Amino acid sequence: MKKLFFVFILLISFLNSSELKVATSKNVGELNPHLYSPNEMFAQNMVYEGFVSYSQDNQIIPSLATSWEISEDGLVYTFYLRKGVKFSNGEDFNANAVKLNFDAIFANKQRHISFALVRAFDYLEVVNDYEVKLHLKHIYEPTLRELSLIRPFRFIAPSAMIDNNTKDGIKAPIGTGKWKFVDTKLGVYDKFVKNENYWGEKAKIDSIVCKIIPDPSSKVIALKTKEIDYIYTDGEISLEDFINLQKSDYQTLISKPLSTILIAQNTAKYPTNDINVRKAINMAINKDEISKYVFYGTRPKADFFYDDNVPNGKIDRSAYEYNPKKAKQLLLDNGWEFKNGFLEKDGKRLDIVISYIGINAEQKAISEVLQANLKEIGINLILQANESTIFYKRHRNGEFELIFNATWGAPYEPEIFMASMVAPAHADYMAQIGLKQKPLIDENIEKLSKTMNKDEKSKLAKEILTILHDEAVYIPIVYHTNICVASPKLKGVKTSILKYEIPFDDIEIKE
Amino acid sequence: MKKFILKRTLYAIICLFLASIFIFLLIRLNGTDAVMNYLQVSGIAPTNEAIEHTRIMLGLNEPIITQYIVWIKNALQLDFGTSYFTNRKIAPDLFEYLGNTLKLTSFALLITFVISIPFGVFSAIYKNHFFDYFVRIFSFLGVSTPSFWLGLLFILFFSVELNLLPPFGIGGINHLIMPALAISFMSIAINARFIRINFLQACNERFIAYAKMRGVGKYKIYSKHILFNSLLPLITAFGMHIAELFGGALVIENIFAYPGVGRYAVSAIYYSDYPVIQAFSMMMCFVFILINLITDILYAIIDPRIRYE
Repeated sequence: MKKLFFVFILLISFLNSSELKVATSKNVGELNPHLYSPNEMFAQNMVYEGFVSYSQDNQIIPSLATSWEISEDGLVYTFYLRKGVKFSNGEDFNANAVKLNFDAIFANKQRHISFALVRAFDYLEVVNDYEVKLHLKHIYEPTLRELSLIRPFRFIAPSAMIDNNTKDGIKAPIGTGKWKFVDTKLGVYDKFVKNENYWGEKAKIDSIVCKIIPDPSSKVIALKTKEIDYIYTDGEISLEDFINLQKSDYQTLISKPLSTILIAQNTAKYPTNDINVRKAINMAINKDEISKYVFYGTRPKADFFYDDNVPNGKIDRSAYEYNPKKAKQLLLDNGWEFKNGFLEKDGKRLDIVISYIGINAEQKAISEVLQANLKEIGINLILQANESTIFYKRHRNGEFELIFNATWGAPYEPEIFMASMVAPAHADYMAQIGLKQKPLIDENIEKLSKTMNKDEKSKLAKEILTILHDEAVYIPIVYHTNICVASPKLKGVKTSILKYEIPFDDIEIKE
Repeated sequence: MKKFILKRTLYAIICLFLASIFIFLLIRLNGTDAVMNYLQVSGIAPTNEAIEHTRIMLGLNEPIITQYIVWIKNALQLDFGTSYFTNRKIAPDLFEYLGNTLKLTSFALLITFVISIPFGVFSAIYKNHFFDYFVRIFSFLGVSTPSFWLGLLFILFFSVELNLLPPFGIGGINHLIMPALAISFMSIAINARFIRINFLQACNERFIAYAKMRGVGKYKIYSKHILFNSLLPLITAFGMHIAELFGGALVIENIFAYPGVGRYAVSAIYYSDYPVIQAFSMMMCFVFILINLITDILYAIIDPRIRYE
């Protein structure tokens, strides 16, 4: 009788269980919270949590720390840990677990050296079971934002580490997050189930299966044959398919602007070292056309380096208007002359090279529109397709005139991203190096991460962005968005302002 | 005969060795940089420190010759190293994926022979009749239809419209039918034409005329004399078909989300995953060299003139 009852309960729970089927392009990896590729960020985010999170309205909110204090000198961050939290295997989360995780992260410090917080970190002090102090060597204001990143500052159960370390792998992906990673099959699927030990509001569905379907067209067919229910993020399907799905019963969502797709103009290299050339290019490009025809209206045109929703991203300037006549006139007024349909100066034709990644269809399409737009004002734009690693080498060594670039999105903006502008390894540094205000930009960026004063921070960020705008260093093209397609049977589907997060938590399957 | 087999095997080993050097150098000297790709995919800023550290981590800081010696030494023990991107040992993954691909290509080869032989034979027997026209049109379409497009059509028709076959993944024979048909379409077309021509040529041979004069029955002539002789060149075609089917699998596995070695290789190429590309290329070389060797030996057994050349 007992056995029968047990079978009955199992049957009921099986019939009631809800499973979300998602399309992904590859396996999520071993899910080590402290390492990078091949660990998929969306999955690391499902399993692991850090001290704090980043909210949808650009605020730092509590996660495993319920509150925190920052010392007056800005060098000590005291975190008060949430009590009663357990890892998904039942192990306690406490200061000891935090300490072991920090030790594991810093045992592999070289791996994380590109993070400014890693360079600023001094030591972690355990005050008691539920209080820790993070000591810095110097003020680093974006500390909380770096701690909210998906990696590397998230916590794994100490028992899941190998000899108290994570740099050579982990025993199992055990975190405190809403989801548990339970099963994987190479090249076929990864499975997550709801973490019943979760300290907060539990997920609404019981499990998520990520089916591996690399081809974008096949993902759409899988949706139609009900093999999957949900597709999220950029590049998973073509925008053309997305537009077709908008006309069907499927739910289709476009996120808010997440980052900016822009083209950097090299201020240190002829002919883009001429501000009039840079301004004329900015005025000659029909961004509405690019947004409409290249991105099917899914990405709004970008007039500025940052969209208005980026903290301290708005500047007191008007956008460069689309006006090819004015652009042409600007060049003619500055010594350029028309010869055989193109502009010339000192016997040299106005030829400009744009570098893009050869297999990136979007960059290629944008370049083609640019080529047609610039031809109208007498500029000969030469399209240079690059293999991706060669493209990034050009970024690093400044071997470009025009090159595709992008901002990183929340929570990196603006300080964490701007910090990269000071490093010679970036296209931004190389693009700006010809400006006479470059020392001022770098000085402001240094101050930006070291001031705790909000007004001062805002002033510095705006000053940098204003110089970059006035000097026309960048051509903002469109704001990047993520797209989402969901089966009509799902509810609670939404988008996130975080580029690498998939918002699974509120999804439910309708009866 | 023993001498012939030994000589051919030695050639095969030399070929494989030269291929290993060629593959290794080609990947390293083509101007791409696995370190930059690794950092980009990992979302790590490519600072000088990060580049240096990653170069050491991936073993790319050593001289090329040292890298080659380490790699070939391990590869001989079937240890192809660790993937830069999955951070997993390559050999077990490669063999798991290869098993799936072999299942798919074997099934496709079976379909090729089962369909193409009757197509070729009956098209020749009923020359210039309806069935012959049908096979000729089919052959024309077969060689000019891209397999990925055909794959998508199959999915739309058999899965979306008719709901008959599963569109993706791996499982029973149901999962193999559409991808196998898609990749074998071209081979069926080529093979059917090939058999038809051979059959017709054999019909014009003298020994057939003599057989007819001896009063041998029509069906006996077809089955015993012509068919055997027209199918012999298929031994050569066998190697060619394996190459076609493997090539087709590279594309089709992505369309059907089939976890095969082709999909593994395509993503490795995309991410400049040197050790996986090397292992895959070596494996493909091995397969083709082995098939050529088997074909040569089989031919030498059947036709003794070959071994004395």
